[in-house]
Amino acid sequence: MLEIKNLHARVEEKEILKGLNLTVKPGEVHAIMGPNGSGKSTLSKILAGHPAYEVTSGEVKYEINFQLQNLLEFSPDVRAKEGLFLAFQYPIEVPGVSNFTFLYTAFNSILQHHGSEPMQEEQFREFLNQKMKLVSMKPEYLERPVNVGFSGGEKKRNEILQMAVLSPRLALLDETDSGLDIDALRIVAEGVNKLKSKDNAIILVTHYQRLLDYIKPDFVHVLAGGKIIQTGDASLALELEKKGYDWLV
Amino acid sequence: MIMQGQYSQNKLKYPLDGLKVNELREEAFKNFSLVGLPTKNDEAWKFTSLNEFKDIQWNVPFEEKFLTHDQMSYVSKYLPSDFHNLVFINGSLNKTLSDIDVVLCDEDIAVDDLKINENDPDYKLTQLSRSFAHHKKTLIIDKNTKLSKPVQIMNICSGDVSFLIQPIFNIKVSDDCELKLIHHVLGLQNYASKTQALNIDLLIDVGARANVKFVNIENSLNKDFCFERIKINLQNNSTITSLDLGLGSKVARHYLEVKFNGENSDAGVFGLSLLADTQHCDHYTFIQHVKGNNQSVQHYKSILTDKSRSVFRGRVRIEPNAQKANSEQLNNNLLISRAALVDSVPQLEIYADDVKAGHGSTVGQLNKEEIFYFLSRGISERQAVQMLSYGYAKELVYKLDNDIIQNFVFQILDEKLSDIF
Repeated sequence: MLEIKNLHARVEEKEILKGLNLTVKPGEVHAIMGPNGSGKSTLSKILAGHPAYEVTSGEVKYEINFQLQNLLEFSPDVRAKEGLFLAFQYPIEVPGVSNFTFLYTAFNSILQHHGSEPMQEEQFREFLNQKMKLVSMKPEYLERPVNVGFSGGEKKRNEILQMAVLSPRLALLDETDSGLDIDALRIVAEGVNKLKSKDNAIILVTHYQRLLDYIKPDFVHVLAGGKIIQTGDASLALELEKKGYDWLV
Repeated sequence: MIMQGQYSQNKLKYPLDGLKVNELREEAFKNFSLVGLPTKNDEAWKFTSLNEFKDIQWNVPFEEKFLTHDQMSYVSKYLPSDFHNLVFINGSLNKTLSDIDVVLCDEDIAVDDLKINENDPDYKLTQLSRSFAHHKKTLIIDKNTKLSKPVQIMNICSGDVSFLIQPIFNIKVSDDCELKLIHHVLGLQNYASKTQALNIDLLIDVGARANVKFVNIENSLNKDFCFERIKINLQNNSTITSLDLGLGSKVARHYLEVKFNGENSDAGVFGLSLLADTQHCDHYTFIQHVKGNNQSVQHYKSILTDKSRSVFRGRVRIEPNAQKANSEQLNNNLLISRAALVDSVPQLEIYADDVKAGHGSTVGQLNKEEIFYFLSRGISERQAVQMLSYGYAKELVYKLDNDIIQNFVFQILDEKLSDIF
């Protein structure tokens, strides 16, 4: 579903990714760990198409209509319409636009991209109510402006709610666990687990092994110095927690 | 700008009853011919040029103008049954489209109406108007008035020649009464027409303990001119909530004056310019605390794209005896394109010493991170800009605190945003 070959990328003239390789197949959960500044967040932003980040060389292929295509050719909104989703590390607040309007517009945008008729509001509200239960969000949050007045945990749960509504094929969760207490973490992890399927894939960018107790990865990669230097299974994460990153870097 | 021919024709068609009124009208025209229109040398007109307006050969309408069937359909979209609607075409009441329940009187112009105060920043335009004045339209809201719905006064200007339309409206809300009023200048989009100009006076007298909600929607065509002088007088313990929307014309001037003639009154003065292309809207607001113990809150926003330009001059005057006056002023501007331009000038004239008077102004762009957030959810940039602009403007519409009027305004804003972005 996703093939990254020798990816070099920079932000503000500083090269962060220096030859990253990664392959992700449907149904897989990949965890990406690594020391601070290694480029974990950069990878997510590059895949999502953030304008501040520039790819200097390498390839990123993503499956669209059963064919691997050059992801970098597509604008960020088209990537999202083709099933790519980024759960932000620091979700921003958007005053003036309600959570409901935001979700409704996004949902119909994607639906229409695939040639379907937009869903009517009433129908969407019902659909939404079901999804909100997944992340224990209260109905009154819908009318509030996006993320305004939300605690850190609520913002992260809101990201997972959006993921639940938009059903991405490839979800990039960028340090979704940072700043969360145990209860919030559990809710977020449960939500993600319910959304896992054999047709979609998840890339979890995480600093701590904690999240991986709840969301079991198929692969664990260590990203350091702008490259993936080690790949293993879930036990690699446990080893990292005990030994740190020094023994690898 | 030569109007001699038009003046003579007008004088013949509409002679005034009484020596003094005729004299004053003659004097207004004489002074207009001498003094002309405001220029950029006038401080109050520093950012707005009337050169293009001056170069057009204007005509005064002498015949009633009828709309085509299509045009009537178009206009009807903006005449909901939730309102009592009064539709004026080139200054004349169109009986087909108007609601007969509303009693609007056509009164002869009086001596007081023709007096020109040269301290008035827009007196030159008033002079132009009074040169051609003959009648004024008066609406009185008193204990006997049975108006259950908001009143919409709509002004449409259209023609095969360029008309200068100069109506005078006088709205009197008696003590303890209330009124919801919408003034709507509607350009006939997609219908061929020459450039039109509306030079209008709207005087709103708010009695003691009276409550008025007022929305001014100026939605002219890109090639039209719109000069408005809206003057609101407040008596004791009254309230006014006013929302002034500048949605586009070649050059628009919105002069809005609020005068506290009594005490313990409240004025919420809000405004929004939403402009594109080369549209230009100049808001000059003047809040006068003549007496003390009154409160005025002012919040104007603008959303500008392409090469449009918005001016905000917020003038507040607190007279020496107007102690305990409370005045807040805020102007926020959102520039979406690089070529958009805004001029923001607070003008505080404070002569009393026990008052609160604050002011603030911001100019910004859309937050790139916010836009990326929308893109990352599959929402196009065009749509993101529309949604964020709508969100920016919404806050002011909610100040009206009336569902029916708010929904009407939101519909129009929606339409405008879809057109622009």
